[in-house]
Amino acid sequence: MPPTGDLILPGTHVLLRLPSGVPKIVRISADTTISLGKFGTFPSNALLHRPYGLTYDILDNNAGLRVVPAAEVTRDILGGGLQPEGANADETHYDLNYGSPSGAASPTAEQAEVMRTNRLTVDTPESQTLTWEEIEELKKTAGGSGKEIIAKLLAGHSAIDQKTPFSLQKYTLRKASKFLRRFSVHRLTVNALTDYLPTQKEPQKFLELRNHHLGLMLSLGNIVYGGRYLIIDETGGLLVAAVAERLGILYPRPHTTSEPEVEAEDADAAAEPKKRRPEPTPPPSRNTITLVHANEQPNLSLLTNFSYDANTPDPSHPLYTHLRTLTWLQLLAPDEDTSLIPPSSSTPEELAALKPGKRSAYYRKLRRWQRISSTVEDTRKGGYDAVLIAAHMPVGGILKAVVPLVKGSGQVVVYEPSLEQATEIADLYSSARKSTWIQRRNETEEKEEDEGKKDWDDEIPDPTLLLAPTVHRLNMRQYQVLPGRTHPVMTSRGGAEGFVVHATRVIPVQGKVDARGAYASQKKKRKLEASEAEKA
Amino acid sequence: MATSEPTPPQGATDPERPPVSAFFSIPDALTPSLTPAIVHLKRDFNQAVPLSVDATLQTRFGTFPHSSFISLPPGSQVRASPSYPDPRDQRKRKRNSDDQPAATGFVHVLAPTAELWTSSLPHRTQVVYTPDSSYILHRLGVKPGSQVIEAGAGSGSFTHAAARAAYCGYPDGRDGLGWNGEKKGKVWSFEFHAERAKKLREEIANHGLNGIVRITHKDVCAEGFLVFEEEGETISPAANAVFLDLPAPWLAIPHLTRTEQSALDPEAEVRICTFSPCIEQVTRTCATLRQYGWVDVQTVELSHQRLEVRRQVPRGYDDGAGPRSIAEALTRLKGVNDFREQRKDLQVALSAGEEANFQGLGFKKGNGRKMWGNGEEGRLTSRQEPDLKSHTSFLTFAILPREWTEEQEKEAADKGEDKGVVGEKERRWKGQEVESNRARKKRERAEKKLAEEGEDKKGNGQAESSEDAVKMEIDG
Repeated sequence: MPPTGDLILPGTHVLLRLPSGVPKIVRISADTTISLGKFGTFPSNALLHRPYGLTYDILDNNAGLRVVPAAEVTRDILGGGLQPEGANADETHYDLNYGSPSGAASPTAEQAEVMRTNRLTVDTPESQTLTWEEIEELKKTAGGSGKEIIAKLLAGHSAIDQKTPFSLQKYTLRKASKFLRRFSVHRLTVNALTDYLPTQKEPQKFLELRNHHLGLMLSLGNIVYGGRYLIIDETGGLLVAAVAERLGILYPRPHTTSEPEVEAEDADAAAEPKKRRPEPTPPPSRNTITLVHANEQPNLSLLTNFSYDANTPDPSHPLYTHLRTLTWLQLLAPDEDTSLIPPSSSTPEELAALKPGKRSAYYRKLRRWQRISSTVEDTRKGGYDAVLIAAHMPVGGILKAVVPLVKGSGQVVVYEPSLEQATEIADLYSSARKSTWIQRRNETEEKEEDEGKKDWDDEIPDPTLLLAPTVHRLNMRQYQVLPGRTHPVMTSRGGAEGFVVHATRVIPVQGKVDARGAYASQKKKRKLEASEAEKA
Repeated sequence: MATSEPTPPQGATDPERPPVSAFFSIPDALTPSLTPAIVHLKRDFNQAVPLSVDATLQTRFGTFPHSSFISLPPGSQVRASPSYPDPRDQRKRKRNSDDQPAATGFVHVLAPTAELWTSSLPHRTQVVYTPDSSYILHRLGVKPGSQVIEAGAGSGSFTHAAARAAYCGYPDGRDGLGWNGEKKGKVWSFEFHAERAKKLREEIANHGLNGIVRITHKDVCAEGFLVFEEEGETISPAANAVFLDLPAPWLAIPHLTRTEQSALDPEAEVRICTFSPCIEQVTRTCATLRQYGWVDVQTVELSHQRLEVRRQVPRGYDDGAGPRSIAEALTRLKGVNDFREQRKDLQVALSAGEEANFQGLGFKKGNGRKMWGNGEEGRLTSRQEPDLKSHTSFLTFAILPREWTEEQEKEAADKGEDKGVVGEKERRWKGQEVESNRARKKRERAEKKLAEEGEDKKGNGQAESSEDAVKMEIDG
């Protein structure tokens, strides 16, 4: 049976995790050599059509890869501690006895042995008898994917018997992360990408979004297959990618694999009718993402990791039809955008008279206009199931523009890196502002029917449109779980804490009667109280 | 595109094809249904109400006949029915008028979501709250089409969230969504408490999630994860994501292996998350996971708080409180001193029979009346919600790679030889020498012309090779 299912196919990006814990994104294509720096090189074909999640040793002399069994991986992580742990897990975990650091089950038998500490350990550079020249030489010659060099280093350490078992394990692990030529292959999911980004790029570029924030946004945003979502994403496409993943439109569809010839035929067949210019199939109306961007072109650079290049998109990628983009100008002032002016219409006779080049140029322009104008029309109609925002610019103005486009009971979710920004949003929808808003609306309605709205502040959204804005703070703490040494990790990444603001779009009661009634009654009551206070 | 997406038959009343659950698609209007609408009374106070034509909802904000909700779009604000005044309620409100919210007599009626359902849930067990469940689903990579095992369904909070993430159309195609022939996402939910399983099954049916969620009454620790069918046969969930909310997950892990009758997807890696409040459970779970070949074992803890955002308007002496600043305090202290002196002088003067100049207090005394602003004054502050969930549980994640045999490795090695120019794709990928279709066509035309003129045969060859490159790109 040929291997099928979930395998690394040519052209996909994968995440390699090196022994030092450093992640690395590599695009796997056939017949290339992949270099992992000091950890060595290997042919890409050794990874193609293999499953995800495996760990490999890089064989010496570019000879390829060896699959490392899970048991061996675990043993090396635990520093050989799997056996006592697996054998009598209860004792080692619950009656951790420092008198018996080797994990022996009966502490009484070893009562005589004193707990070994680092009391007598003297740190000197001399304790390693190998010189750096020798180590350099070993790096070149030693085999076993780095295991030999580690063994020699341990053997060459003069004070190794003074180390406590824990510190010996730590020492071994440290050397392993430096010299072991091993890596694991992982699917490049949004989760993996979000973990990877802070190690590479400037964190401000993607607003220091983390996985727990993304997850919370997807849940609070009620992202569900089949919905229509409006997204304002200034993180380079991270938020779009997360939503697309949840909608099942992020990864290229697995072709009917195994026979590349069929694919080629398909591609030809797809290319053929294009020349004949068929009526463009109507874009899908459900399970779509609409991205509003501030520049002429959207910045979706991170989507290249998922084989979607926004500049030269691949028509077979699901995002090609399910992701639509438009600028703020097209959304808010479509009359002023030149790209929305229809190409000068021509009669069929005129068209037929044109040179072929001119004619195809005309059709190209026409199709482009059709595409953009349908996107703009569709977006301005609104009725979105949710809007998700991660933006550098102040969100008040964005909310003013996009909240009316969300349908009743739809979700509004905003990510903000700092608390100050998050509280500002929540404050825009405070109950004091709500009552002020209603009062002002009633007053202007009394004075003039249509005017009045114009002199309202530009950046202040209508506070009555959102229900129960809530600021969420979410932090994650990672734990090291090793037998007898379980604790939170000692260091982790700082930076912007990250906050998620969530509210639900509601439809306020039409007409002023009730709202004004409530307001007036309160005013009356206050007057009453005041007069009572004066009397008293 | 293989996607077939006709218009949704929303609100269809065909009994053969029940409508799509309101959990998956916000309906255009509220209809009488067993799927509840969520009535939002006030912050953190939601009530799940299955709407029916002749029922009435009694709340502290007034009385709402269900008919006043029906046919409204979800998210609507609804006024209390004036025909049912509640004099008791009115009196009570007058008495403690301080904490009276301005908008009494309203509710908002919302379409249900997994989060709203969790917040209005009839609690039967400890609930997996949204911050945890959202992270778990994201980290497990649950996406449309996923097969999710959930053991310890409990109150069904995670069940709803997982169903939403895995959903990609109903198996009966009632929503016209999803790719043809694609496996539909499903949540395989296990609960060993008979009463809870029964209740949950009712809820799932009422919420229109049948076909997406399958509840099995079974003790997975003892019996494993295979689901019994009618004729004594078992079917495998073929799961690629597993969530264990069990008191002893280490007893269930041995049932999740790559054996013949496995509950796992044989052709994909499987991700697991266990949810345990105690660190002892975590260490034991990790040991078992490692023993059974799971890798990338990682434990995290999430801490979540909701923040209350307030405008802090300092109340001064005018409002019957303390000073707003030191300057105010000084003014007042000086004023009181001055007042005392004046009074002393006055008494001295009066006793001497002289006239005295008495000015009284040197500052204005307030009447305790609170000023109402427009919501823009004062300092913006935030504070934690009063009741914190300071610890929910530890989340332990791990991955079980798919089984990879020697033979498979050999076949993959044979297959790995894709013909192509080394480095060609890389160059295209990095944006070097990437040619737009337009530019390519233009160049090809020029080359064709050249070839036709019989001047140069080389141009033709180049055009072919570039075509090859384009094909390769499509392959990739």
